[in-house]
Formats: sequence, C-alpha cells, structure tokens
Amino acid sequence: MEREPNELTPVFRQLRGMPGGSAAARARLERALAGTPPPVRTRRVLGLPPLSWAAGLIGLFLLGALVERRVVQPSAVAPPATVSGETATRPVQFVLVASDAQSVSLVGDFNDWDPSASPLERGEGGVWSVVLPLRTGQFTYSFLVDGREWRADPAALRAAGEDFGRPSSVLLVARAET
Amino acid sequence: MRASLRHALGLVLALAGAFITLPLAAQESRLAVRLDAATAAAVERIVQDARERGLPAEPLIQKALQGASKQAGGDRIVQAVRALYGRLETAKSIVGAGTESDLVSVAAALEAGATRSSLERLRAARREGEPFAPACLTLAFLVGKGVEPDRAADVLGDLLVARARDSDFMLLQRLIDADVRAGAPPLEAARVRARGLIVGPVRRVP
Amino acid sequence: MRGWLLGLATTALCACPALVAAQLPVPPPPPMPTIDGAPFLRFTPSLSLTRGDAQGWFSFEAGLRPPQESFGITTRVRATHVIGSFQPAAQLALLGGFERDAQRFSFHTLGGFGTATDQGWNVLVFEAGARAGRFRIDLRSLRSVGDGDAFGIDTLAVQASGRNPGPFAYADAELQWEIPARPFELRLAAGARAGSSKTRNETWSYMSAALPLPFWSRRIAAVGTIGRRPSAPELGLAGGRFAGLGFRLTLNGSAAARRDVQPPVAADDAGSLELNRVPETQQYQLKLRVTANTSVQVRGDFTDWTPLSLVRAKDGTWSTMLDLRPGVYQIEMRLDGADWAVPPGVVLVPDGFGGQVGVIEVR
Repeated sequence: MEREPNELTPVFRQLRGMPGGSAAARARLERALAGTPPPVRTRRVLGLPPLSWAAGLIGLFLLGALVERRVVQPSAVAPPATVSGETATRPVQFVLVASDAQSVSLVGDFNDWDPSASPLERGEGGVWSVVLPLRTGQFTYSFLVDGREWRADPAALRAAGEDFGRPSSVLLVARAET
Repeated sequence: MRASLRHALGLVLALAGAFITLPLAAQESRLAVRLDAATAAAVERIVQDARERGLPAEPLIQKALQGASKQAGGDRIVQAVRALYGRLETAKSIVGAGTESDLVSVAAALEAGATRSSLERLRAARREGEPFAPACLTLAFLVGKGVEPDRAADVLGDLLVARARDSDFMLLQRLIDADVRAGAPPLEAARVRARGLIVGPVRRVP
Repeated sequence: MRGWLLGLATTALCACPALVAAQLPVPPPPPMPTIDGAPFLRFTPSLSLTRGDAQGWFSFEAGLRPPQESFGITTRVRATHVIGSFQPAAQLALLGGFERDAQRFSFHTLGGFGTATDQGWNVLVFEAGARAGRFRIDLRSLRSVGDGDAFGIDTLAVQASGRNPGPFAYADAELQWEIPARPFELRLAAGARAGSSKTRNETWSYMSAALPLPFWSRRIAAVGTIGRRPSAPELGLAGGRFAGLGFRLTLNGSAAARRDVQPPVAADDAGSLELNRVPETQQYQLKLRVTANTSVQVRGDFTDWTPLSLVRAKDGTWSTMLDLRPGVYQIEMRLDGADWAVPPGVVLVPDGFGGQVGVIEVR
C-alpha cells in the first residue's frame, strides 16, 4: 500500500468500489450486482470441490470425536456382557457407614435389584464396603440395611423421579482411560 | 585499563548489582512496611539463613506477613517463623533434593502433627519425580482428623505405590470427610476408600 | 451452491454411520479416531480501518485440544470471513497437529489445508508456536495450491491491494509479549515475513488491549488493536497501518472425561474451593462455593496476607483471577466481614498463632 503514488489512490478506490458518477448510480449498480449470482467456478479435487472435502473431513473428524467422548452404551435393560463376550468392566467400590447394621446389601440395576447378589463386608467401626466389576454406563442403586431399610448413598447423587419411597442413588461409570 | 572501559565496567557492575539486590530489597520492604523494625530485622536474619542453607525463603516471609495480618505480637511472629524454619530444615532432610512445593507441604504435614517416621515412609513409597505434595497434604488431613501418623502413612504409601494422582488424593479426602461425618472412624474410612481407589481407577504399576 | 450442497451431503454421509453404529447394542461400534480432549471455541468479530478503507471481519475457531498439562493431538477448524470494499472473502481451514499446554510453557504445531471462497485459492498451512511465561513466538508458513483467479480486478489494483494472481507462498514469524495490567490484557507484537517472488517481505508491529467483561471471567472481551498489519494474499487483504475494535468470545470445554468411577460426591460434600487455570496463561480462577450476602474475601500466601475481595457470579459462587506459580499456599476466607476461617473442604493445619489455616496445592 505504501508504494502507490498519490495520484493513483483515487483510481484504486474507484476500482475497488463501484464505478459510476453519482452515489445514486453507484448504489443502483451495487444492488444490481448483489442481485446477480456470482459465476460459479468449481475447482475439483478428486471429483469434489475442495470445500466439500474440507467439510466432509471436518464432519467425520469432529463427529467421530464427539461420538467417542459420549458414554456409548445400550440402555440399562440390555442383557449382560455374555452376549458379545469381552465387554470391558471396571471395579467399583461401594461404601456405607452404618455402625448399627447387622447386614448391608447392595441392590441396583447391575444385579437386578437382588438383595442376595452383592452383600457388603463389615469393616471396623461400621464401615461396610464391597467392590464389584461394572460395565460402563449409568446405574441406579441403593443399600438395603438389615433386609428392610433402604438407604441412598450419602456420598453420591440422589436419583431423581419416582422412587416408591425407597431412596436410591445414581452412579456413572465412564470408559477406562488407558 | 582505559578510562572508558573502566567506566563501562563500572556501569555494568552497578547495573548487575542493582538487578540482584533490587528484588531482594523489594522483599525486605514488604516486611519493613508491615512489621516493626526489630521484628522485621529478626525475620530477615532467619530468611537470610534460610537462603544460605538452600531453603525456600518465601514461605518464611509469608508466615511473618500472616502473623502481621493476624495482629500477632512481634515475639510470636519471630517464634512462628523460627518454627517454620526448623520444619523446613527437617523437610529438607527427609525429602533431600525436592521442589519447594515438596518442602512446604512436608512442613505443613509436620505442623499438623505428622511424625518424621511417617513422612519418611511416604517418601520411601513415592516414585522418583512424582509430586509429593498431594500425599503430604492428605497425610496432614488424616492426622488432623486424629489418625495415628504411621498408620495413615501406610495407607497413603500404598496409594503412592499404585501411582495415585493428585486428583485421586483430592477425591480420597472428600470421601473420607463424608464417611467421617457419617460416623466412621477415620483410619478405617481411609483404609477402605484407599483400597477402593487402588482397585478401581488408580493406574497400576506397569 | 452445488458445492455447498455436496459438502453437506458428504458430511451427512460420514455422520450417518457414526450415529447408526452408536445405537447398536451388539457388536460395539466400529473404532473411530479418539480425541480425548477439551473442546474450545473462539469467535472474534472485528472492524478495522486501514488507510481510508474499512474492513470488517469475523473469525471463528473451534476444535479439540488435549487436556492441560498433557501432550496430545489437537484439531482446529478455522473460518475467517472478511467484509470490505465490495467483495467479501472467506476462508475455511482445517488443521491438525500436536499441542501441549503447561502452566509456564506451551507449544503447538499444526498443519492443514485451507480453501478460500470466491478467490478460489487453496492453501497449505503450517503453524508452530511456543509460549514461555509472557513471551510467545508464532511461526506460520502458507503456500497456495493449484490455480486461483483474480476475479475481474485489473493488475495495478491487484498489486496495490496485495492480491496476487499466481502461486504464492510466505513465511511469517511473530513475537508477542504480554504485559500484565489487570484488568486489561496488553499485548505487544512484532513480526516479519519472508515472501516469495509474488509476496513482499514485510515487517509489522501492533499493540492490542483486551478488556474482559465481566472482569472475573475471560469468556467475552472487548479488544482494541492498533498498529500495522501484514497483507493476506489468500484473502485479498492489503496490509498497512490500522486501528481496530472487536470482540472475542472464548469457550473452553471442561476437562477431558474424568475417571468418575467412584460415586460422585454429592454437591454439598464437594470442596468449596476450586482453582482452574486459564489455558495458555499462568492465571488461575479462584472460585468459592459459599453462601454470603454482601462480601467474600480471601487472604493468603498469594496476596501477601492482605484481604482480596471476590466478585459474585450469577450462580452464587464467588471468584477472582490470580497470577500464580505452582506451589503450596496457605489460605483463609471471610464471609460478610465475619471472622477469618478456612474454606470448607480445605486441609487444615495450625497456623502458629493459635488458630488454624488452610493449605492448598496449585498445579
């Protein structure tokens, strides 16, 4: 820009703007030009315009990433892991502090709410715990104390919605990071 | 030497001197502004000692400023700074060539009541190059809740061996806090939750 | 028009298998490229005046970057659209590469392909950059690919405007220096370009000041820039002295999928103190989740123990921005002018003056 001689500046301004004498004429020309579609010059790379390639690649890339980052999981009522063989599970610990309890059992989506499936072991001072292998996904669960009292996990998120008077908690098991 | 060269050299030396002493002077001015002359002088001597011994000076200065903002008496402030200096020395003998974070967190754990032997246990379990502060602060946390230091160090040592990250230690603290509030004895809560973390998401030794 | 339709169709076709595969319970979905990263988005509309010529542009950049403190793959999509004179120019670029963003030092290297509408220029771009503390250096090399058109402009005007009817390439190096002047973000930059036969060697420098609004969040900022800008042949922009005003909106996604295997701790049990580093800087946002009516103050090793007031956000949390180095710090807080206390959830140690103080680690 600095090289241009002063006399040419108005010429360049003219060239980069609409030609025409009066402002009204220029405005009309501009409107007319805006109304005309520009000529389509399609450059093709392997049969498709490069923009389409770019858009396609971006779409593929980002969508793939988004899909991977979501918790990709069948719904909670899907059959257990046996169908496809090797489904990755992760060991998850459940803890309930209950010094007054004689027995504590874990019930939830992953064991079909069966009180006999996952009993907890008592530790000193009433710290009950158990470790279970769970698949990735979201689960609702609760503790059953002495076979009759339902307790939600105080250290977890409460499950919202109808709980039939029996509080329960929600657990999210994410994919394992390698 | 030629006169102009001498002048130049003098200028360079003066500038170098200014660059070196200016930040130090700035620090000392922080103490001079907030503390009375005698206290400031006493604290500066301790800070100078620390610098010579290769101990971090900034925590000592901050301790003095903390005392000033809590309106503690001059004697109390000097006592606290001296005590921190002692703990930093102990930390250095435990950790050896550690980062400033390591030394300060060991000093904090000592202040909370951790014993030297418990910290040595922790240090033995730590992998080379991995940060020490999260484990030390968790030790301070457990000792603060009344857990016996050596037992706490055993639990945390297992976590360090299993390469727990600082986020794992943070999670551990919160879980133990919740359990203790529900009435669990802190050591048992620590043992159970640590086991859960080791078996679960903590990376394994390859 | 057909090109855009074709592009959308291509995207849809690529997306469909991904979505379909996600629904199948058995077998598991086909492996897709996994980019375990944090999404970000930056949108910058600006207006500038260059020697009697007004140009407006907006640029949009989005992508995935690896989680902080780790080294990994990064991808970016960049779109720039310039409105000026009577020919808008737009460019879309797709870049991929590696990035590492640590507290004091970060670097990135990207390569990619860009295409400009209307002018028909396709370009290959290579970028690399590094940041150490307050200094940044950015290298950029751009080369046109294939033939472009000079769209109905005569040769003299082409040369004056910086547009070049022919293959062109250039390599830029730009140095930036951040000057802390809270609440402004001041930046001084100087750059040089080595051009090929069709592009000139240029040097430029500019100064920009950004003011985040609101002050405790860096999401949206007003940016003013003044200086000299290099030409952009791929967009048909001339360089020269300019002054500009714009806005910058940055959204950084949350950190990569955490290992939430343990029952997530319920909200009121979660620690009340949070420290999040602003990417690519040494600044942290300190956030306190506490209920207070009039004021929240903190003091600690990072404020020389003078009280620092926090600002209340709409969601009821209180926060402030701090320049911090990694380390271990002691901290206290005070709600509504009551006694100084340790924020809930923070490790407690005796303070040596008869009370207690909180200790936190900043990584």
